[in-house]
Amino acid sequence: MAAAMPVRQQPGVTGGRRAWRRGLASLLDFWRRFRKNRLAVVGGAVVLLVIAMGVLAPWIAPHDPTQADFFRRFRPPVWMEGGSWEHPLGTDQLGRDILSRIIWGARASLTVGAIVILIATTVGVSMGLISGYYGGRVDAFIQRVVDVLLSFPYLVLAIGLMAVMGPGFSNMVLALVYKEWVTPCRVVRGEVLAAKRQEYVEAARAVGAGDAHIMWREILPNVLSSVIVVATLRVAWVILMEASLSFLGLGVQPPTPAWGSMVAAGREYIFQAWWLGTFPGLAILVTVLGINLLGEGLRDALDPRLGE
Amino acid sequence: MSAAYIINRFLQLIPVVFGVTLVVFALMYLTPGDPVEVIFAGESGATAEDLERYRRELGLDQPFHIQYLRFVIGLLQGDLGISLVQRQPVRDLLLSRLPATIELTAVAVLVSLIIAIPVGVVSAVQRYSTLDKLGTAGALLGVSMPDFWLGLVLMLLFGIHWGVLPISGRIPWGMEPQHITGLYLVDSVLTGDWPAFRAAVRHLILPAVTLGTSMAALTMRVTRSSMLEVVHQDYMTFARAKGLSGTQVVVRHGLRNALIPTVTVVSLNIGVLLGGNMIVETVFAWPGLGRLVVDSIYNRDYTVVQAAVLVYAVTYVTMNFLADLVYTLLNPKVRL
Repeated sequence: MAAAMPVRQQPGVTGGRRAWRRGLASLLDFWRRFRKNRLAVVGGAVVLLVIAMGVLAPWIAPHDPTQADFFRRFRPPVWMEGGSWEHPLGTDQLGRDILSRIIWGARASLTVGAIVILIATTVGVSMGLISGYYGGRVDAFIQRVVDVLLSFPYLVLAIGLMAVMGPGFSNMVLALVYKEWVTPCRVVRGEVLAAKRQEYVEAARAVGAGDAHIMWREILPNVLSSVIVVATLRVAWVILMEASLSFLGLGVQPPTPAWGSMVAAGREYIFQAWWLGTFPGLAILVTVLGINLLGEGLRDALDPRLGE
Repeated sequence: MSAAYIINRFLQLIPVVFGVTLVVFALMYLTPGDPVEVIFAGESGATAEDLERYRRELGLDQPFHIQYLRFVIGLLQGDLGISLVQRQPVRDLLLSRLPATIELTAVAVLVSLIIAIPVGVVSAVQRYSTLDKLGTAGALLGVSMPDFWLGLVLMLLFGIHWGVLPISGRIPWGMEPQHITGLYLVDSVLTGDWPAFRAAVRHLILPAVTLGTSMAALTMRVTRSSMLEVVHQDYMTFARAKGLSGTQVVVRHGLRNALIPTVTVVSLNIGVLLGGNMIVETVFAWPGLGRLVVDSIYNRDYTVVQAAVLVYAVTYVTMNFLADLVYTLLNPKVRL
């Protein structure tokens, strides 16, 4: 991730009100740039829609997602012979409504994505700040840990950890956080190394500001836009990883609906019912695509130079 | 590239590999439950003394650092332990599955390059054209698509709906070519066993395309952006001024330079492929390393999981090391 952002504040130079006004102006400026990127706006709309779907699941899902009905197993989607509006996307091997399970499944994906990124970003940003700011042995130690974690392919480490810890929601969050914090850590460290030589840091130091103040109040606000962009784009990746683990039966456990495990059922009953895995997979694709479009739009709007 | 650079870069690997073995060992050590109980599961005749004796024999009564030391010494001697469930050396189990994974990964890389490089180059040369927009959209779709779902859709279409390609396994039973390398494509060519070759190719198509797609998307993006940087360089203008045709300029002068970042990205993303092949091998019942890991997790065969994770990590580290060397070799301006 590249260096300096154009939407930067120079702390300690102006009074509170002027700083606020300038903050608002740069936010409007950002929105004007973001709005021009139609694909990013579409991506943002998709993300909002999926979030709304997850939040409103109890009210908008037509059926109970875990309610089995053995008399209605493998009902096809509405447009096929034998399909009905009662189950627009058909039913699964236990007679559960696929549409309702997709709507509820949004919860699992979004929750894992949000929690993992929140924890990983907090840890990664802190480590990156400390590593870049202090340098020396602290930096060397943190970077060796990062190197070791980077030596494991992402999914391989997550699968290894899940094998040890056992399947389940909180274990999956932990298994993903173990490696995920490395990305924000590296991004922030790089930014801090560049920022350390900037005048505003030297100025803060000259007026007697402590290390913690310089790190959290002076440098962090200036690297925040990179962190936001990286966090957004990484949510997409974490959702893909969550779906992969659930597909392998190591993630969200039945009967809780999760898109990955629904695709796994589709693989199992591939000869009986194509719709079992096709629609949940499509939900993953649309969600991840939406987040990627939004993330790239944010990146371009926050730092137009990163565009190409 | 100086020998000192290579040695220095190689020495940097040592602490990393040490860390990797420590993490992998800790994974096994921290696993809840007793491996000896997994070994004797279902055997009613074993007494508590038997279990204790076996535990001592395996060294499981020793403290962490002694067990770790024994683990590392074993590794240096090529000993990856004994499978808890199948009761045979893990090394033999992994070696028997390795050719299937190598074959699938190699063909997937090939598929991804065949798709990505032409699309990336055309996208860059004809920037903002419909082709460019299609290519860029395709790449975005590729990185956003879960590979297990793409595999399922390909199976549904080509395997079940049209019935033109097989959807699972490596080759029909009884058609395996004579074992030379374990790579069916190579073995069947070496022995002139063309029916086996055809069958192996047919079985490879869907898994390789599935595995290669996300890699193709990443590679295409890098090829496009590095090609865009190259297109406006003075030497490209000069090549055109010399009277070379557009294709000659692009291939001989542009692509050669633009491929430097592409090579690096391909090598670095082998990690994505290694993770991906666990998924793809599970989807297509492909009898490789990834499938072995997933099966071993279900069977609680932790020594196999541990060894396989180690093999994956060491492969990944080695690929990164080679990527660095290749990058430096291709671009002498860089000394990483």
